[in-house]
Amino acid sequence: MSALLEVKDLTVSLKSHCGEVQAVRGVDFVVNEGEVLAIVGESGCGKSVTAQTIMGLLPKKLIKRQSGSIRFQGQELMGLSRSQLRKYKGAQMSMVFQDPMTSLNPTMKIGHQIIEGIVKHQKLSKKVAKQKAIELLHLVGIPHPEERYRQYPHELSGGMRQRVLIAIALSCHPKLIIADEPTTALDVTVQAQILDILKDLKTRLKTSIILITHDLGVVAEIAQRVIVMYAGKVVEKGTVEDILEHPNHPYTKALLSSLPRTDAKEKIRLKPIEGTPPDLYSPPKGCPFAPRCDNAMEICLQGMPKETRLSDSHISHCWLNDERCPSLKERLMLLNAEEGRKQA
Amino acid sequence: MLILKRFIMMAVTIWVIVTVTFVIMHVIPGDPFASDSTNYPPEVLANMRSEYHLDEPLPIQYVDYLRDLCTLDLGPSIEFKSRTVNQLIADGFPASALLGLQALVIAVFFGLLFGIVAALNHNGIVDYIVMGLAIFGISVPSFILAPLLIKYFSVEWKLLPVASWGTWRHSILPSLSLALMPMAIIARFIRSSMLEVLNQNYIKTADAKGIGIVSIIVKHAIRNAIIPVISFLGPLIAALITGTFVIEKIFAIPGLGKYFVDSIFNRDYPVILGTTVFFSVVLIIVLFVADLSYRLIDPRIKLTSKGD
Amino acid sequence: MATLSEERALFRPVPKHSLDNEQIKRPLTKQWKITLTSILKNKLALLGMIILFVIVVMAIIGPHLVPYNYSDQSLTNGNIAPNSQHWFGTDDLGRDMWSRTWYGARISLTIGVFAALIDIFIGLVVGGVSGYMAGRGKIGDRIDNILMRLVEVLYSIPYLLVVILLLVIMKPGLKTIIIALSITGWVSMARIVRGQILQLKEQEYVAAAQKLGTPHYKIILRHLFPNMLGIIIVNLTFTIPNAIFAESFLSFIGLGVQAPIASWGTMCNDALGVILSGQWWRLFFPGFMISLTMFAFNVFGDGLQDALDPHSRD
Repeated sequence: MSALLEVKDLTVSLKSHCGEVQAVRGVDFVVNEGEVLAIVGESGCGKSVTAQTIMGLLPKKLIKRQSGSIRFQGQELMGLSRSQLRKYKGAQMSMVFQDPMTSLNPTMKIGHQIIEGIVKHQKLSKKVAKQKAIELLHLVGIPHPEERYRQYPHELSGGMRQRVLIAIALSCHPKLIIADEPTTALDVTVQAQILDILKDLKTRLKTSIILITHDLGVVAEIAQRVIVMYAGKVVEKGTVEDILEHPNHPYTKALLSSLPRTDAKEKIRLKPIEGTPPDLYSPPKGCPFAPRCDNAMEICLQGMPKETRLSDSHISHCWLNDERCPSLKERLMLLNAEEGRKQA
Repeated sequence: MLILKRFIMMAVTIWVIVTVTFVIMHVIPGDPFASDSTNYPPEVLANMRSEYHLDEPLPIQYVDYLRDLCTLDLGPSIEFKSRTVNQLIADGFPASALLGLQALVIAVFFGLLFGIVAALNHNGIVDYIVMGLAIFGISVPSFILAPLLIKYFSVEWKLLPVASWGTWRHSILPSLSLALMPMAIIARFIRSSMLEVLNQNYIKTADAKGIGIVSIIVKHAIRNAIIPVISFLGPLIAALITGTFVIEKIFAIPGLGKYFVDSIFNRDYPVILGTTVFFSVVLIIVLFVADLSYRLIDPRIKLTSKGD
Repeated sequence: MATLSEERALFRPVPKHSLDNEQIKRPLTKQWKITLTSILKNKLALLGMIILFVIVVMAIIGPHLVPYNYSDQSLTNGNIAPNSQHWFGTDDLGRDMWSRTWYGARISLTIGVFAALIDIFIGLVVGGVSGYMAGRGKIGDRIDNILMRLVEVLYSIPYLLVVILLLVIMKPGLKTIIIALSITGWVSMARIVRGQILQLKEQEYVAAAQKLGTPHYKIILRHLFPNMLGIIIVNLTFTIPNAIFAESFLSFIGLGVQAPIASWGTMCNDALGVILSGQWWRLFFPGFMISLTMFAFNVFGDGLQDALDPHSRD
C-alpha cells in the first residue's frame, strides 16, 4: 500500500479578535490507499482545522500563518493557489461536514447540489449528470431517488441529508474522503447505517477515508489506523489494536477510560478527565497535557516530549518513555515525598 | 389556501382604511365651504352642499361613499370646480409612477450591488467606503439632499434642468434624491444578510466541491441572502410613495404627490380623501404582491401553511 | 551534559493539583458594564453619543448665548449671511438663525422623543399582554389573536398617510403632532415585544417561577422585563430618528408646527424658496442638524445593537 496523503509538520495559526490562535502545531501523519485513518481528540484539539487545511477550505483572511507540507499522491498542495487547488477539491478529495442540518443550501434542490461538482469536474451534460446523481442516491441508500432528486433539503430528515452529503462527496469518485464527525449529530440507529455506507465505500470503491471523531466505538468499528490529537499536536499514533489495546500516552489512556465502550465485556467505571485543554492563544512550551496528567514530571513542563517508536506502526510522544525516566515504583515514592514536603 | 386568506385580509384592510378615512374626514367641525361663503349667495352654497351630499345624514353619506368607491367614482374636487378627483389622479399618476419606478430601480440595483460588494470585501477599504456612504444616505433626508443637488448640478454647474418635468434629464435629480435613502437601507440590509450567509456551513460544502467562486457567491450566497431583503420591499415601496410627495413639491413635478400636497394646503377634502384611498389601495396591493413573491421564492415556506 | 542529580530533578514528579489548569482568566462582570465597554470601544458609536449629548446641551443653552430671541423680527436685518453678530445669519424676517436653530432643536427633539416614548409604551403594553396571554387557555389565546389581527391590519396601513389625515383634521401643533405620530407607530414595537416574550416564556426559569406560585406581575417585572430592556432601548434609538424624520417631512408638506414656533423641519420648508438665490445658511443649518441628529442616533443605535447581541465576527 502506498501513501495517498502525507502530512509533514503542518502548522496553522489563525487570527481571532483575541489575537493569534495556534490551532495546529507540527502535525505529521500519513494516509494510505484504501484505508481508514481515524483522528481522535477533544473539541478544540485542531482536528477540524487540520482537515480544512488539507482541503484548502480555510478563508485566507483567517490564516495568520501556515507552514509544513501536504502531499497528495506526491503532489505538494501547500502553497497552491485557489484555482490550482480547485482541481483537487471535490474531484480527488472531498469532505463531509459535521452538521447535516445546515450543510446543504436550503434554496437549491438536492439533485442540483449533487450534480454541481459532476458538471464542473467531469464536464458532463446535465442530463448525464442527473443519471449519475440518481445512481449515487441509490448507492447511499436513499429510497425513491428520482423523487428525492427534485426535493429541497428541508423535506429530508437528518439522516437522509447526511447521506446526500456523502453522495455529494462521492460524486466525482475521489480517492480520499474526509469525514468530519459525520455521525455526531445523528441518532444511534442512523449512525450505524452511515457507518455501514462508509465501510462499504472503503471495501468496494477502495476510497481512503480520514474519519474525524471523538467516539472510540466508531474508531473500533471502522478504522485501521488512528492518530490521537491534543491541543494542536499529535500525541500518539498507531493501528487500531495499538491504540485501543496498548495505549501508551496518558491522554490516550485517560480517553479510553472516560468514554463508554459498547464492546466492553464488563461494567467499568467511567473516569472523566479533570481540567480543561490549554488556551491556544499562549500554548505552554511543554507537553500540553501535563496539567491534567497523573504522571506529570518536571521535564514535562519544560519541553515537548520526543517521538518514541514503540513498534513499526506505533509512535508516542511522552516523557515517560524516555530511558532516563524512573520506574513506576520510584516515581510513586518520589511523588509521596513531594506531597509530604508540601504539607510540611 | 393561504393566498385566499391573504386576499381577504387585504380586502378587509382596504375597507378599514376607507372607513377610517371617511370617519376622519367627516369628524371635522364646520364646513368645507366656509371660506367660500363670502363669494357665493346662500342658495348656491346650499346647492353645492347637496351636490357633495353634505346635507344628508352621516350613515347615508357613508353608504353613498362606499357605493361610489365600488364604481371607482371618487367624486368632484372642491378646489378645482370643474374636475373630478378621478381626473386629477389620472393626470398626476403617470408622472409619479415614473418617478417612483425609476427611483425603485436605482435603489434596488445599486443598493444590492454596493451591499454585496461591501460584504465580499468585509472590513476592507471598499466595505468602509460603502458603509460610510450608506450612513450618509440614511441620515440625510431626501428633501434636504434635493435642494443641495439642485443648487450644484442645476444652478452652479448648469448640467441639469432646475425643475419641472419633460425629458429624461428632468428625472435624474428627482430620482436620485428619492432613491438615496432606500438605496442605503437596502445596501446595509443585504450586506448583513450576506455576511451571515457566508458564515453558514453550506457555503463550505459548496467550496469543498471545487466549483468556481462566482458560482458560490451567486448560486449559494446571494440566492439565500436576498430572501430577507425581498420581504423588506413592501415597506420600501411605501416609503418611496410618500417620498414622492416632497420631491414633487421641490422639483415642481406635476405628479399625484404634488396634487395631494396642494390639496392638503387648500383643504380640498374630496381630493385628500380620494387620493389617500387611492394611495392606500395601491400600497396594500403592492404589499400583497411583495408578500406573495417572498413566499414563492423561499422554498421553505409552504403556501398552504398556517400562520406567518 | 546533565549530571545525575540534574537528571533526577528533571524527572521529579509534579503533583497535579499544584498546577492550575482551570484558571478563569477573565473576571465575571455585570452585563451593563460589558455593554458599556463594548460601546466605548466602538469609536463611531461613541462619536454618535457625544454628538447627541452636545446637541441636547446646545438645545438647552444655545438660545441663551446670544441676545436675540427666536421670534424677534427685524425686517431691516433680513437675510444677512453668517457674521460675528449673527453666527448663523438671519432669515427673511430678520430673525436670528442661531437662536432659531437651537430653539428648533428643542422642538424637534421633544417631538421625536415623546412620540417614540409613547409608541414604545403602547407597544410594550399591547405586545406584552398579547405575548403573555398566548397559550394561557382559551381566553388568553383569544386576546392574543384579537390583538394580533389588529396589529396586522394596522401594520398594512400606510403610517404617514394616517398621520397626514389626522393632522389635516386636528390643527397641527406640538401636541397634535406627537399624538398623530404615536397613534400608528407603536405597531412594530408591539410585534417585537410579543416575539421576545414568546421566546422568553420558553425559558425554564419562567416555568420554575410559575410553578413556585410567583404572582404574574412579579414574573413580568423580575424575569421578563430586564431581558427586554436591551431590545427596547435599541428600538428607541431607531424610533426617535424616525419620528424626527417624520416631523420634518410633515413640516415640508405644511403640516408641521405653526409659526412662530419653529422646528428644524419648518425652517427647512421656509428655506426652500431662497435656496436658488444663494442664501445657503437658511437651509444649511437646520438641514445639517437634522442629518447630524439622524446620523448620531443611527450610529449609536448600531453600536448599541452590536454590543447587546454580539455575533462573533471571525
